[in-house]
Amino acid sequence: MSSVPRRLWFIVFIVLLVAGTLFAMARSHSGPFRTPSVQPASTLAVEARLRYTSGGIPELWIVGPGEQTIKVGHLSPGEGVNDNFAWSPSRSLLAFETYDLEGHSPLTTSHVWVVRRDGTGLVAVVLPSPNERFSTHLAEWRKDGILIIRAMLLSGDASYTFSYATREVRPLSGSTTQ
Amino acid sequence: MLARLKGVLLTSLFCIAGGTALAQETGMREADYVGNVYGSVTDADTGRPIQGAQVILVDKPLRRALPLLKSRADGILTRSNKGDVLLPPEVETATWKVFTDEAGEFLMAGVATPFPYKAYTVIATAPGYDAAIVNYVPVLPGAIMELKVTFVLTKGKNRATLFEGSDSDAPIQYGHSHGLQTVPEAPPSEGNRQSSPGSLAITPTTSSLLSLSIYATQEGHIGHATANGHIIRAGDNFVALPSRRALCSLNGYEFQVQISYNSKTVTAPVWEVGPWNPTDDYWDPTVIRESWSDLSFGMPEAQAAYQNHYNGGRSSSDPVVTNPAGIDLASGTAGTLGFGASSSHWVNVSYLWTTGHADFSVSASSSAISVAAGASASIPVTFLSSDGFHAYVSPSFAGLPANSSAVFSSSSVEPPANGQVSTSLTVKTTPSTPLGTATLRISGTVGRSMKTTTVTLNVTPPPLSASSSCQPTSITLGASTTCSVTAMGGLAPYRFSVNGQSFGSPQASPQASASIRPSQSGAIVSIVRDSAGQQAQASSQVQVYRPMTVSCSASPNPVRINNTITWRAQATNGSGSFSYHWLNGTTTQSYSKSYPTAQTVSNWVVITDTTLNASQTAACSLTVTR
Repeated sequence: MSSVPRRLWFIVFIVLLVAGTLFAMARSHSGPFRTPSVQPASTLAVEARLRYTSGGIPELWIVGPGEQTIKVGHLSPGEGVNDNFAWSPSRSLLAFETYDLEGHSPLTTSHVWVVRRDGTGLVAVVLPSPNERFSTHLAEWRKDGILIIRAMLLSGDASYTFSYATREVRPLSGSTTQ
Repeated sequence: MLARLKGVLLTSLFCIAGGTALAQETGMREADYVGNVYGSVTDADTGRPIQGAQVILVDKPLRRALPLLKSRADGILTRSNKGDVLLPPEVETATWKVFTDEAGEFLMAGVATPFPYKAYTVIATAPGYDAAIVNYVPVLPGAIMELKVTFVLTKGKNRATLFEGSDSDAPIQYGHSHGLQTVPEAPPSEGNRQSSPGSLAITPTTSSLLSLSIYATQEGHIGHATANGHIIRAGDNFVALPSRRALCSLNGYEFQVQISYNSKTVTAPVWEVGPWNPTDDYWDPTVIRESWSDLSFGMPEAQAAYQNHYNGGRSSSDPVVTNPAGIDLASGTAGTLGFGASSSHWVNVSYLWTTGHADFSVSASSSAISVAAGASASIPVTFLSSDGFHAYVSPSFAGLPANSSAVFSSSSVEPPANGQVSTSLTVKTTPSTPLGTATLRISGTVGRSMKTTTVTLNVTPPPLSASSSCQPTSITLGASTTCSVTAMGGLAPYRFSVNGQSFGSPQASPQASASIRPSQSGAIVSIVRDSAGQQAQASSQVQVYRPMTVSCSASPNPVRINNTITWRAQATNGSGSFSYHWLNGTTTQSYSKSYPTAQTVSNWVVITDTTLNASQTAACSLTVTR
């Protein structure tokens, strides 16, 4: 019988620990985080979260170990962030995708961004000339750390590779471009 | 019991009567719509057209041959690469049986088809070739799309290649380019389609123009590039539609819509893709719609997602759809319609490239024009609207000869409804433009509809002319003058002749000269001939004078001292215009003088023909006595 209260106290302790953690997270920001959030690995305890300002402008934050928060940046009014965040295989880079919240110009208003885990080095992935204006969409990270992006051009869909190290965007061989 | 039986019989009779009435109504509707089927038949080995191939349209899809049905009594059994198929007996009596022409092409215009479409089987056969069968292929009303079937037959016999219309490799495609749309009346309204805003309302006009009630938002994004490359400016007039299939070229007018809202109407080109989707051609029949073909004809995916949680309420690239928009308006377009800033409304949209009855034509003022190589010529071109057609038309041309160019005075024209508008095509040639005729194709394009007229352009050689001059223009008989001749225009090499005598060989240089000894005064006639057979002549006047003779004398002679005598010079022939220069410097023809001593006086005079610039000296003497 004495083991039951001990188990109860343990459960209460865990509940309080989780509640305290959530309270601390809530206090560290001016507004509530919203999904989506992604965790590259539970051991790293790093996740990306969206928060909206009082004006409704979305902000992207990275939450690190110990609840350290890093603001990556805020988006333009009318822009949203799609929920297909993707961490690089090394968990050092985060790729995400912005779009027009009202659905205007889907061929030109969606953009893939890549940022370091510490929130620095934000880069927009822009297609090479003459397709700079067209939207980019997140496909997947390759094992070698190259990001595959998808683009809808006038002539059809095409895939590109993006190297964060060189910032180069190149057509993926076998993909159609215009 | 009898009453119950009567009731059953009456109910059955009503059902039969109703079914007949419905069938009759359906039959009438089918007759109201017609589509066009065209295409070609070629040899698989050589790629050459097969003339005389028979193309059959059967109003009944083929069936797979079951073992028990392998009998010609049920139809014609054909062994295909997909198994045995039975051609229905209707093949023998099919209404549509046509033969390909020498180009291997065939046309079936006016095939009855109900709205939105009817499935047919199209069969191509030719002696010595395997047949090709396209089964269950939709024939759409001509106002919407035309069916093109491209048959490629291989040599053999008693076999067939069978395609289903839904096969990705089926040799069919749709287009408006054939320009053979016939005139369907308005499609019948369907029970599940309402006209209130926010619901699907398909309202083809009397001209079969597809018109839909669509939720319109405003594009914004000033300063950004649209999908066709246009940089958005405040006050722009264009729209976005959610499919790349209806996007104009940069600053083009191939695809246009007419938008009506609150009694205001505006026509605008499609310069952007959106909102929400890039592959949602909801204005196309579902059988050819690029995406979301399970949606009703005319229903934008975003509207279905927003109103009915279709596709989980999301668009193609995943964002949650937050409005039912099927069209985006540029700020100028929205302003013309009376939209408030950033406001969105239900509007009526007509998709002008779907026009079937309303149409336009293009014509040139003449069927042939001539222009000299190196010169320019203008061709007046008229675009004519019929049956209420009203849209921007993009003019274009093709078939120019090499080393020439052409430009329209307007990059787009907008004929008023049932009116016409003219522009002109200026053709500029160069001296190296090949001579001869070329067929110039002058077209106007709206969406997928192109209308063309032809003009025969005759490039002629540049007109040949000549000039000449001779130096000197006055000569003494027997002397020579040099005549220079210059050819202007024409085509090298040139041949020259003067006074009927050819000189030199054909030469590229347009200038030549010759030395002439004319025997009398008059015109020296020079003639130039060019390689195009043109001839031009020029003349130059030359005066020919007999040689001048001169003399001088003293009178009286002899003379006594201190008496006066007169020295006189005399010239004959020559031009008659002379000057004199005596030994003592006197320059008159004669002069008087007396001598105080007896002597013999020698004198001379130089007489110059001032026209011929020739001089001779005459000598004379006087005896003076006491």
